[in-house]
Amino acid sequence: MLTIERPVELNFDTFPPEVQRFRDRVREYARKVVAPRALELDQEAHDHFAWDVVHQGHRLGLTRAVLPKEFGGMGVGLVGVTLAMEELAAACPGVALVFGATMLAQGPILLSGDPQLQARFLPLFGGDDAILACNAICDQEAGLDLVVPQNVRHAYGMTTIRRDGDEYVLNGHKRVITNATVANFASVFGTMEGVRPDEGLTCLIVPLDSPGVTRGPVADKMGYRACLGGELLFEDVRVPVENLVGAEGDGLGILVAQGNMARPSVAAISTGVARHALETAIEFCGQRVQGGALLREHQMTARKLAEMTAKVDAARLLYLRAADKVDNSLPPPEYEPAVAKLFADQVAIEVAGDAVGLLGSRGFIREYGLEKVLRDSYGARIYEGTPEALALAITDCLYRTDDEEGDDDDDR
Amino acid sequence: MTTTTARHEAPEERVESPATARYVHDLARLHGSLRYGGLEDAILGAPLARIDGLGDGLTTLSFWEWQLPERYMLAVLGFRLAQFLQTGLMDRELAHRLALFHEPLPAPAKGVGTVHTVTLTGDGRIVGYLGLVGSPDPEPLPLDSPVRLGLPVEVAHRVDLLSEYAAPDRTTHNAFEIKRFVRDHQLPRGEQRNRVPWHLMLACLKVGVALDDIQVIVGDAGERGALRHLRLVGFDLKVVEGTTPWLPRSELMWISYELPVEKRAKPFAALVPANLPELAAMLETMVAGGGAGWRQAVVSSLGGPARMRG
Amino acid sequence: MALYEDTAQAEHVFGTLFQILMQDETFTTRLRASGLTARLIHTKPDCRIFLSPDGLLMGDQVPDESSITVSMSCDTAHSLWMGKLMMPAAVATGRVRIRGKIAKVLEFVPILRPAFDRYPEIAASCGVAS
Repeated sequence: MLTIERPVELNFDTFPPEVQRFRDRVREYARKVVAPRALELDQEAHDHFAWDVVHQGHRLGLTRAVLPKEFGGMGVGLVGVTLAMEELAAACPGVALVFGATMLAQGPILLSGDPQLQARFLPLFGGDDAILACNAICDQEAGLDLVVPQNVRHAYGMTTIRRDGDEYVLNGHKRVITNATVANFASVFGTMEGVRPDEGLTCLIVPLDSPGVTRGPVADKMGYRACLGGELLFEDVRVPVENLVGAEGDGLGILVAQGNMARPSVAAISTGVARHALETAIEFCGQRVQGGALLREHQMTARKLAEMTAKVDAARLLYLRAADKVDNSLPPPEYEPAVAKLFADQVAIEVAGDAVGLLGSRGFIREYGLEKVLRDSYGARIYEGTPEALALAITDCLYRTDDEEGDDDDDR
Repeated sequence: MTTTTARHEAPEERVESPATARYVHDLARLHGSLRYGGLEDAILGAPLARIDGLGDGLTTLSFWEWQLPERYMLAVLGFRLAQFLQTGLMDRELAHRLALFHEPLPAPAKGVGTVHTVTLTGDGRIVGYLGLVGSPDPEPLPLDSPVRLGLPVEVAHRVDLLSEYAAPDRTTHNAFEIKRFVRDHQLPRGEQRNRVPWHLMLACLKVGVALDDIQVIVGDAGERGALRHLRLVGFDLKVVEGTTPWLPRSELMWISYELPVEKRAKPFAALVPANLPELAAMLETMVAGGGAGWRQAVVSSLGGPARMRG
Repeated sequence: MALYEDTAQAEHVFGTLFQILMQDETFTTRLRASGLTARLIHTKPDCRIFLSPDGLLMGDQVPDESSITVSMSCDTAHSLWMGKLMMPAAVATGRVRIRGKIAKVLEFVPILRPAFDRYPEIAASCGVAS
């Protein structure tokens, strides 16, 4: 008989009451408000934005989920946020990303620990109408080099920042920034003029109605069409020095921490996409008759459904593990979020592809909705870390020694 | 009534930092951009007063503090802070240093409590506020009781405003202080801006009618602020001159008592007019009438009797 | 060379600092309301501090568990309290490591102000070079 000294409570089905309530409310919103509009939003013009859908999500607290309670935060932690993201993404990952990108932009303000900066921006999310934000990292030339920490020194053509009295001046061109077209402010990453990017990377909070800011064209994307990926041009944009996050040159650390905190959410979005595909396949295979038997009774189909289900379950467990680790450690861990995202992004593509195969022609025709899911499944492998970037992060963790693990070395 | 003895600090030259000026500017912009279209529906139970449909796009609501969820209460307190910082009546450096984005949330009332009145535009922007603060005495006491707690104006000005109104049927729970009578300083000049203070005054009268047992009102105000409006609507105010108000520097409003004497708020008190329901009805008719001369009509119709009592 | 000479010096400085916080009503009220306990594990030299709504413990009296654990060297702590090192950089580079409910920890950062104001004088009076 197995005995155990101190029973370990591992529970992946029951969450604290506030987390459960939040997930249930978001699930209802996803099913009743988002899902019925998902196909319509996908087929709208590429620069169409459904504010009415977003306002309703805002009123549930989706723009305040990660904020402290004094700013109206929901107190659900990243575990609660990821569960909510899965629910939203199972209806439409584009809508999920509208809120996810806003939370990402709030990250630097939260990490700053600067009470005045927080007081000037975070109450914006406390009104009854939705306010959105965006996180502006990728430049016209510098993209993945800003996601792989060891490559940042090679990032060129970045948005530049220089100090001028009690202001910072920005010049640059950001592209495919989610929410750029509709955001109130942006967390902008640029490099101090004349300083190598890895040493000079700096984060500033930029109100997007500042003189010199131009919102450029919206990308006509393959998927995630409910959210807008737009451009931001900065021409001698001036912001007060109080808008600096941390200190000049702190940007790389903020970027790394922010990315590690965000990856569980993206993994949850991918899990939601996969779940949508899986549920569609389960329903179809439980009804469609072929060769005198339900599809699901055919061995090959059963094998596929079984593997699809196992992948979705595994993706969920990985993102929950990563979210729980992020909720309980600073700096946020690197390994678990990267593994969760690497796995879930691939699962989304595989499960969506398998579902299309199972549905046959219905999987290929727009009105049945599954071809949208397949297109959407490719989105997450691009943002917040491609599989290639994640592989570098993970193997770096695999070969890191205890000495390098983070003894507080003041000579760094 | 208990009072505290406080030392008086001489005014000093204060040079505001550019960062503080920017902080206040940002707060004003922030609160000016927020919308609270759901505020009315969030009120628990029925509001004490509601003014709407006057053709000016404004809605004014009055409610007990406990009726409003904390999230909206913070919105109201944020509006108040933004307005008083802009006018310099609250300490801007202190607000900046403490990173305030709303006035501190008050502790739960042990006494009567506070009635809040807010005016909102059609899209949910808060543009006006008036507070009626009830006695902090947990149990009602005679107005001349030596152990009654002072209303905030009495504590700040170190003056007893209520004793002379003592009467057998009158207790501290029948006395309220008018506080924070303010409209949005960023409202463009025009009709809506002119009508906000009258919405607030009208709501104040309607609350008096609704609660029925408000007999004495006190407060402190400048001549061009609440004093003028209260006189016009029929209150026979007794203004106390020559007080030396003081608040500790941990209080945001301490700086308002360091203004030049001629600009400082003066404490006042008045009995609520016996014909309050009629006054409220008259004012509502005039404000609802609108048109080119509604303000003149208010002044001449209501101001006449006030001047005669003068 | 480390700024702090020995455990006794570190305990004196950081102990005094956290005593100030424990006397601040805002801090203790928040601590009590959140139900949190915190261990501060300083190294180079060792200096362990435990905070709870019931008070402050140091050295061998510090229990093995707490709801939050913050680890950093004394030199890092000095830079933080002097305002020379910003929290984002400290956390992002791993010079400060926190285990426990992070959301709760971030809520506490703004109310550490009383300690920030007093640290320079306390450190100087105990011979800690700037």
